[in-house]
Amino acid sequence: MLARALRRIWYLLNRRRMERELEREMAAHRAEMDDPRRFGAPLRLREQSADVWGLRWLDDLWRDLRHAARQLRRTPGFTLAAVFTLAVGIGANTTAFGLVKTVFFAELPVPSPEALRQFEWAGHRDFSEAAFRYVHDHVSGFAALTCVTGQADATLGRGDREEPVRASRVSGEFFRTFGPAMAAGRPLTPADDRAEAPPVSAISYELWQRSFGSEPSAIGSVITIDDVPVTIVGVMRRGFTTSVGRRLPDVLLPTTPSRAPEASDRSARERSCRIIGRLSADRPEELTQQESERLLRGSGLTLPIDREPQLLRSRLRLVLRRVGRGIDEVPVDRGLVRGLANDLPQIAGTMFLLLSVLIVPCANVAAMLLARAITRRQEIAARLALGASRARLVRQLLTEGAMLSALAGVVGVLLSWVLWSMAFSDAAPFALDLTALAATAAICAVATLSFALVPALTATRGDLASQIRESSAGTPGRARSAPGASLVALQVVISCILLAVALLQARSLLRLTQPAAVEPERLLLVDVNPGRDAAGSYVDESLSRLTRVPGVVSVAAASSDGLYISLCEDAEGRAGREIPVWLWGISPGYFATTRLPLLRGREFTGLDSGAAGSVAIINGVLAQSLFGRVNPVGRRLPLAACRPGEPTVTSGSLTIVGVAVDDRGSAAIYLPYAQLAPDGTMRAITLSRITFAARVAGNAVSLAGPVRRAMRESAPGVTVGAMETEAERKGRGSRAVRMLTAVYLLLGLLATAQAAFGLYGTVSHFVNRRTAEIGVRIVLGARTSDVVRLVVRQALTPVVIGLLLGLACSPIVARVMWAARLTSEAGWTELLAIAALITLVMLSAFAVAARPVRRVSRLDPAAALRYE
Amino acid sequence: MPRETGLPPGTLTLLILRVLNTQTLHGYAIAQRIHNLSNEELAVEEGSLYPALQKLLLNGWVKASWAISESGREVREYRLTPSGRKQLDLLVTDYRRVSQAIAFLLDRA
Repeated sequence: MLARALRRIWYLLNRRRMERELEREMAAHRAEMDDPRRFGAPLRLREQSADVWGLRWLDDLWRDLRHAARQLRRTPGFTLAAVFTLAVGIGANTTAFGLVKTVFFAELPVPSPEALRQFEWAGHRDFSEAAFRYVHDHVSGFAALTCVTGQADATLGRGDREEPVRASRVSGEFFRTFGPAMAAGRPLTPADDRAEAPPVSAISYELWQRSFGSEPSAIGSVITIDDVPVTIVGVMRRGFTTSVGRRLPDVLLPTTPSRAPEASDRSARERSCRIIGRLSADRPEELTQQESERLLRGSGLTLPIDREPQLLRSRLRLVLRRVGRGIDEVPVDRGLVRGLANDLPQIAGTMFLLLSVLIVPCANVAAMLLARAITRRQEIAARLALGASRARLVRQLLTEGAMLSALAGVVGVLLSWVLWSMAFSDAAPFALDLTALAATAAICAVATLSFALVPALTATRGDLASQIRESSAGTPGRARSAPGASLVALQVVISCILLAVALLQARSLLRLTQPAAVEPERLLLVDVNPGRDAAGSYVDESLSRLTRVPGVVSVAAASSDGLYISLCEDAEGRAGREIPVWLWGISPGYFATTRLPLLRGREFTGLDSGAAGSVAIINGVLAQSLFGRVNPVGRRLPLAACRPGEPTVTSGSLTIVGVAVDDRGSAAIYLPYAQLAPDGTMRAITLSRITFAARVAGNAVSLAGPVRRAMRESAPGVTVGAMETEAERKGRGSRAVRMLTAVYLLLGLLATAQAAFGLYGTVSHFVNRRTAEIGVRIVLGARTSDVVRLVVRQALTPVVIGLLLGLACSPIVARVMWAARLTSEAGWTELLAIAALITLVMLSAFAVAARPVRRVSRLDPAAALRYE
Repeated sequence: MPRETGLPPGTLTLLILRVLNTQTLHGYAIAQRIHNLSNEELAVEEGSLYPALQKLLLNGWVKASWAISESGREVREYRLTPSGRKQLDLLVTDYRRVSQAIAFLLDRA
């Protein structure tokens, strides 16, 4: 079999020679014959003989390709338009997919990263090691559970050389959690993580290369980390990391022993770590979550231990957050005005929805091909009449379609590359997503091929004679019904829907990233860590000093981190369904300073202090789920037991004094700072970090100095963090999100542009088709206005129908997307904006389409009659 | 030209291989030899001969090379390859078996 194939290839390569030899051979044969005429037709004989080699299809293919190329060259306008239309679709889709894949869906290079979970307790990811050990020793739902400290600077010593490195401590099951990771040597094991174990470390591949010259002898050698000797037992493989897009520290050390070195800048602080576990496959995640939550609540060991009164502990929520994908590492929302965006994964999911953008270019090209099919009907009919087989014709047309999509694919990839290098090169290196490319190209190819077939199918229908006769001399015949009146309408509908989707998506994303605070660049923020005991008086003191800084308009303070808790009572204080809610402590003036609007009621004042009745401000989401349409101001927000048997807090009931705008979709309760302190009931949320905010009148940068000085003066011992504006802080975290927004808008605009382009094509084709007929009409006395009306009526009717349908559909789309939790709810303003935009875009499309119409009005009847 | 009707399908390959078994021959000579050896009963038309020869080449059963014929012309001669010889044995055995069976059946039925 193989030998046969090889002989075939050999024949193919030497084809010319072989055919000449056959010719000579036959000539010799004829010469030998008594009557050479009996030999038969030499050419036919030669062809029959050569056919044995089974290479005829190749000839045909080559001929088809050349024919297709000739056809496409003959109509450069059509070819360019079709290729470009498809290419833009392919390019945009491929870029969007590549982008989403590299930024959001990149997975950790570890076995089954989808089973990794990180603990998030009441909104906080840091745990004490004691809490970790407690959970670790009692929990059963994890195949492995590890705790990882933050990276810290350390000094690596080797002989008399020293170099700075980054080090992290990991507990015993680290490598069991993340899977095999060693390039050489052995991983750290639970046995290493004991006080009596000899001190060991694992180093990164990069450090091994950099400082040990990739010497195998590095393993087993003793180095010092911050002057404590440790033995290197293993080198991790290249590229191994525990969070997407971030490098692993150079050195990993076991958490435990007192003998192991203390990473320098950690020693002062309470050492905390992040808990990451690998879920066991045979246990539902829910059970594991509940089990861990119960353990943490009961342990009394969670990090904010002394700031966590009994009441709250029963309400603190544990979230097992997925890690191991790019999207899990996208930092969201670290500004002063918060509410966490938990819906990023869903947003990324909707990317797939936008593959439908490709439908529009496909529809456009389909319409073009259909239009062409009609003009080519005569040609095809003539060829059939001359004896072309139908199969052969189909092959030829398919080749043409394939050539179109192939060209479009090449141009599309180029476009994708250009787009990427122009817009996203600093976010991620250009990555051609082959899967997406293949998918888009396949869709395009199928569409192109199926529509390329239309001429063959229509031409072989009906009798040939009438089709050949069917010239354009005033008798348009069946071709008169525009190729896809319904197709055009459908296309317009799809474009409208896509535009609506893109707009809604972009808007939701923008809401995630745009600081809710008004003029965020004038909002100067600084984080301080005053220590728990000082918090109450410190806040008052600092605020009054800040107010006196010239240029500062208003000031406020808020807890830097919220608490994520469960609310389990309904409006009447009865036990109801659990509502997860963020708890924030804020000072008077918070809403004035952020300029976050209050929907109802008032904000906290200096009077809302310890002595007065406890008050709270809730946000719109919570108001909606607790009170529905009833005005919650003045009502009580009682805190009942979450589960039977848990203590209720009688004194803790709060009066709602205001409703804040809900900017992110999660429920939130704001409590006044002054009431957090006195009895300690709500002290938990003060935690230790406080963000001070100063709204300034002029340039925020020039006031950074005076504000910092004021902060220092109010408490000399407290470290004051870096000054930043709200705008800067938001912008940092949301790069990826903004990028995605850009992609959405781009795709939406693209869909629209394509639709407008398609519209132009349709009208222009319509005019071309009917030029002769219009000439007749003019000769017969039709006025210009009549003709224009005719064109407008017949060509634009489907467009208008599509537009109306699309407009009718967009609220439904908005509703569906909201119901699927893909976007936030669209109000009247959004719907109106969508409608306005769609109409505007389509109007501009009409303006473009007016060009061929104008041509009709200036038609010279004599020329039109001869028009072919 | 019903001269070929006597050839059951597939037999042409067998005949060509058989006449090439004893000597190398060019196309015209193959046709002649089959004609002569069959008591002028069988004739191979050029329209079948050359596709058949190409098939033999494709299968690697024969090799072709240029030579000068007895009549002094440049001709292309075909020679059996070892795998062609094997194929010939196979075809002969098959043919014998089938034709015997047919003859047997014709006598008995």
